[in-house]
Amino acid sequence: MNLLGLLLALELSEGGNDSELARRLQRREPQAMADLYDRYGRLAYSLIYAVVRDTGVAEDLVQETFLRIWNRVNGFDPDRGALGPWLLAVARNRAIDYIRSARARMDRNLLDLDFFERAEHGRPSNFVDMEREVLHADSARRIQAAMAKLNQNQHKVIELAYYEGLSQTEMAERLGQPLGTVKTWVRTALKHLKDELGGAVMTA
Amino acid sequence: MTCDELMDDYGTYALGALDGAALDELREHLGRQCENCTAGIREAEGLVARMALVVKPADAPKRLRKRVMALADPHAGGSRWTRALVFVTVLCVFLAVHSVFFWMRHEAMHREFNVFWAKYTQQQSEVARLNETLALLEDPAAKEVTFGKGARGRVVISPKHGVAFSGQNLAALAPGKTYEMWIIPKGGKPVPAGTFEPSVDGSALHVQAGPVDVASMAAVAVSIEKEGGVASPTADQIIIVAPVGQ
Repeated sequence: MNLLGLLLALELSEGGNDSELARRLQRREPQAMADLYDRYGRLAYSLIYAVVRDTGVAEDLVQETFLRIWNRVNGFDPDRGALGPWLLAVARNRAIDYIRSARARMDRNLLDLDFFERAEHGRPSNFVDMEREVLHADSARRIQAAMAKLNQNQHKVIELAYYEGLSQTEMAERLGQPLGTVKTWVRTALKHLKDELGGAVMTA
Repeated sequence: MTCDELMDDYGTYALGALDGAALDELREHLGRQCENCTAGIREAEGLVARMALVVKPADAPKRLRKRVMALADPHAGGSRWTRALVFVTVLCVFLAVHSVFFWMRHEAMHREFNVFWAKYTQQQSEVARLNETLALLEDPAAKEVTFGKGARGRVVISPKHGVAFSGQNLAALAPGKTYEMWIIPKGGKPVPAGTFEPSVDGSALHVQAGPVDVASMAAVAVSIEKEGGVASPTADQIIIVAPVGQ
């Protein structure tokens, strides 16, 4: 188990009330931004750095992430939304966008550069009615345990998708495998993770 | 495609890996607010959000917090122009304070210099007067006349340097009064030769500098007059008369 990851999760679990923090952001309280950063800044930076592998770029993207949250928080429902997962989705989208753009500069044949920008990912509405404790310490332990149980192929496709932003087609090309095989690996990996986590990621 | 057919792709979609026809189909469902697909996607987003917890932690630089805070409060960290303005303002205040400080110091030094210069000038005058007195007393051509009874002393008359009066036992003066020396020419009116005040022991040295015609002088007298001196001696106030004679 990644103990540092666990500590991160513990920090998050002690972070207090996300709903109230979201309301303060909506009231444009500057201190709320500081509190948001104190609660999720390190995790966002770690996630972005894991994708881009450049400290300077990671700093810029973290700043962009928090700016996006600040600018779009009024579309967020503090009573139903999950602030942390939304922020992390935005952070990952910024990072994946960056590496896809960088990759496109080297490969002009790569299309759909702004997939994440055009897609629905990162919308605040995607994070309503989500379990509020998604980022708790127990979640960290369970997701780490679940990831450890994935086989090599499943682990590889999850990493390629999560850290490099590759689509199924791109992964098939990268791995030299049929598209159907890659789709199966991705689906079974995600199903395995969902099952390991108990499938309870909704409050309903 | 039906929702049941798409549900296996919710996770792939949330992961950002879905492409092709399945992606178009799912977007179409989400675009028409399909409840099943919307709920399934939210669930999958929660799963993907958890994946951040397996990321190897990295320490963000401390300056990043300031950068993020500046997004919400641009004045907190201060923009480049704000910092420049603050710097210029501080510099101006610094220069102003130093200017006032150096101006006050200059004024104080100027006052000290004036006091020093006044003392220097006064001392120079004293030295000049003493030199004149010394030259007068040492003039071989000078004539000395003594006087006595009560106030006593002597008068030295130098044709070249003037008249020196040295007296002792001079009475203390009443307020508003002064001693005034007179040079009395033969057959002429007394000429004022300066005022003076004795020291506390009753002695006084008074010099009227400038060449004098000893041959035309009949006497040197001293009277008590009102402060500032008068043009003609008050007859009943003449206390000393030193006849020069021949």
